[in-house]
Amino acid sequence: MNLAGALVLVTGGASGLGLATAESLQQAEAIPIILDRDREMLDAVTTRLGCPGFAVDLTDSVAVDAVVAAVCEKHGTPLGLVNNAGILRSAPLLSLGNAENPRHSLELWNEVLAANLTSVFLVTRAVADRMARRRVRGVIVSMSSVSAKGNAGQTAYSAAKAGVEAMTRVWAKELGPLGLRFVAVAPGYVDTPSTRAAVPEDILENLRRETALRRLCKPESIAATVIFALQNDMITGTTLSVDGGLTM
Amino acid sequence: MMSEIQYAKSLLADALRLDPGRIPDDAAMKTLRQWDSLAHMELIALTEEGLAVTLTMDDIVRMTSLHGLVAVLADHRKTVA
Repeated sequence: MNLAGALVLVTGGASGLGLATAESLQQAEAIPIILDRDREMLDAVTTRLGCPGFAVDLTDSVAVDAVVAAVCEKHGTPLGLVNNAGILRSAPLLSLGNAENPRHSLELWNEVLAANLTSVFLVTRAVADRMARRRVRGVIVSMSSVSAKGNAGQTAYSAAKAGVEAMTRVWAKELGPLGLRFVAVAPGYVDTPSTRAAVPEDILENLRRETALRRLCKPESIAATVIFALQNDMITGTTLSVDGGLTM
Repeated sequence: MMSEIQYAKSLLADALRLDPGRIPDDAAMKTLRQWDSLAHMELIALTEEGLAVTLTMDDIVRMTSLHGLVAVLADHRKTVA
């Protein structure tokens, strides 16, 4: 894909990795269109970057279809989609020391699956449908995680990210004949405020030691991989690991 | 030289992984079990490659029967000619 002038949707693009991706897209002369549920942050970012943005709950099927229709009507069919939005929640299957809540809650499972897996399904379904009907040979990049391989304490998050990788392979097979490409990117632990808020410093230090490169990922490294996946026209149906050697 | 219907049958047979002799003249997505949505994707790709064109959504909907496919092939040959 030639990124110059290309419309690329970025979900969860108002902060963190999504924002870094939107900024990198802009530097590559693409036009990022940000979808985010946080209207306040969205407005601040779209004003600063001077790019379009839409506030939407990506777990709501009707709202997703409506926002994709609005994007296409106002700006045209996107050439790219970056499924970045998601939430990180951790809980073990069993907490035997916790007498009141010894089991992983179904509510948490549903929340994590909706935000990290169903949202990817809904947005991709809507956007790929537009791309296929307009015969746009688009590219859809979805954020996975090292957790897709199975992180202790992350039943729901690991299942969701493994699901994202599986859907990526399925869609690549199904829609490859139409020229659509699907790529997953699996970052390691990324040095962002949200990671620091979610993971205690001693655990981060251990992860740093377990990483071959002895450092956490930078958001810019992940964004650069997304740009590469969008541009390289022979990559599809695969997951690109960007974790400094944490999972090799 | 291969007729348009023979060529259409060869494309369809390739997409459905069937012998061309097993494609009836009235073959259609609705009646041929092997002609499912995924096989149709394959047919689109083979047709585009064969004609060196990008099919429109209208073409893709029309070519859900052998007769429709023949019509789409004929239209694109006219355009090329």
